[in-house]
Amino acid sequence: MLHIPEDELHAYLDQALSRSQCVEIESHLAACPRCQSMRDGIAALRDRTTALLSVLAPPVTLPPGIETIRARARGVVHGRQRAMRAGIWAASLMAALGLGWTANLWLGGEEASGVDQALVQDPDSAAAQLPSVPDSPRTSSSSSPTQTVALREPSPPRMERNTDSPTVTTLLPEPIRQEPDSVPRLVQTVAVDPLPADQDSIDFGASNNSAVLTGGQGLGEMVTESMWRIVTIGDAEQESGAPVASVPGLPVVQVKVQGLQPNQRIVAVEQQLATGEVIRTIEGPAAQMSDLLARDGQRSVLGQSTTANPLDALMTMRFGDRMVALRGPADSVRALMNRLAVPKKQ
Amino acid sequence: LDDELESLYRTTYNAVVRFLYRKVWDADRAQDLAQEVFVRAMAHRPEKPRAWVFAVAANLARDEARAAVRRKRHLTLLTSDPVILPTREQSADEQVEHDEQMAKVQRALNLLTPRDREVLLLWDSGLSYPEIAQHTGLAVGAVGTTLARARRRLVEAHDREEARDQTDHAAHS
Repeated sequence: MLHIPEDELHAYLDQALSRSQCVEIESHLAACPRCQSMRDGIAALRDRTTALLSVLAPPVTLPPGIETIRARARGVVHGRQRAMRAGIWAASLMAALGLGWTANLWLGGEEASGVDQALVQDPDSAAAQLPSVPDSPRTSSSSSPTQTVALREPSPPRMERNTDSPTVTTLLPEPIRQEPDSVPRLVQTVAVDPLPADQDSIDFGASNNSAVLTGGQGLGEMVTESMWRIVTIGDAEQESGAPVASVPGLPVVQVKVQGLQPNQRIVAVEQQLATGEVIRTIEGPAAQMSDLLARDGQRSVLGQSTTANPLDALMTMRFGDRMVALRGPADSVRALMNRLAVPKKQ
Repeated sequence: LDDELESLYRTTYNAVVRFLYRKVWDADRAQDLAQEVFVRAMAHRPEKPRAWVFAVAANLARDEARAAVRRKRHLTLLTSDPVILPTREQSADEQVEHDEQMAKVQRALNLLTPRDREVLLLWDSGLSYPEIAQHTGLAVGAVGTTLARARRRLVEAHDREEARDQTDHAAHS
């Protein structure tokens, strides 16, 4: 005669079983003294656990009124909206800078070669040929939002406060020196509006990929020619054109993307379990994934960060020409893999 | 959703405070964090607010622990004696007895593995097996096994603490 496993009796007493399972267990209990005894023992154990844990209860207090919580929540929402506006503002600024820089590269490229030759012969007349530079580089920032000047030496810029406008920071290069064989470089000078009064700094956001390129922490520990970019999950989904592979319901700690070509892109998602352990899901084309795992010996791809557990296990699964790898606690990785939401890619 | 969150707040607030208290061992801090949890719930409006609330509470408690370690404060977590406020006027003897019992249970709880402890505390906070599974990464079927082991180990550890306590008393008297 088969007896009821202990964990099922726990689940039965915790009312965690389906109706049909309960009926099955109850019919067995009615005819099995041994299981009855075990059930009574588990019920006593359960009651004792509850009693012990009740000792560890803080004094019961009345919660603050719901309106207090709502008012604080409204403050949080407004703060988030302010942060979003600041982010959009910063992104617009970056886009404008990028456009100006690119445009100057395109438009100034041809002239720069002419300027270069002119500089060799006569620096003063060459300076006169520079397009749209109303002032000298040292004082130019207050008069124009974005200006670009051709310079000879890519020396480290110095930071200097512009006294005319306290909110303007100007990157000043060293003075132009005549070195006929050096290559002209472009340095941008920009006037920056003041930050909002309630904001200490500008968050340029994870979408500014050039600012967040990393290669030395967490998933990016591996030494490869490719680099991981830390992005928001929204950006990762936008790049992939579909939701990224992750375990639904778990908070996302970090998202990283590798590869610039859409058909070679690998997305890594770190999520945190309630126990504090971090699980990592990496999804991408099978060829790139195999290469990544083989090259890295499965070491730094999914683990070995500061939060990784040496007892973690790795599981991989292939979907057609794509592959997903999941690293997490050994006793959870299979269940997590079953819960994994893997989007269909074109 | 507002009504659901309000109802959740009324029914779950004390469970969340209790859950947090068993992680930070500071009643006032547990209440502050519980309020923060519900403020975030109101701001984010999660789809499954009940499970979400406990997940955020666990994260806040963990952040609190890290901050405490950083500040090197004698705040918390698993080794210090709990700070309690009596719910009613207790005699000195009752207070001492209660503190001793609390310290024993706390030591017993600390002897569990983090996984067992988390599952036990989540269950004691009223979460269902699927909800516990979602936040611990366990399969739903494994929650019963983990819970069975956690209960057994807690009681065994507490019994050992009791026995040691009695031996100490006998040695002193």
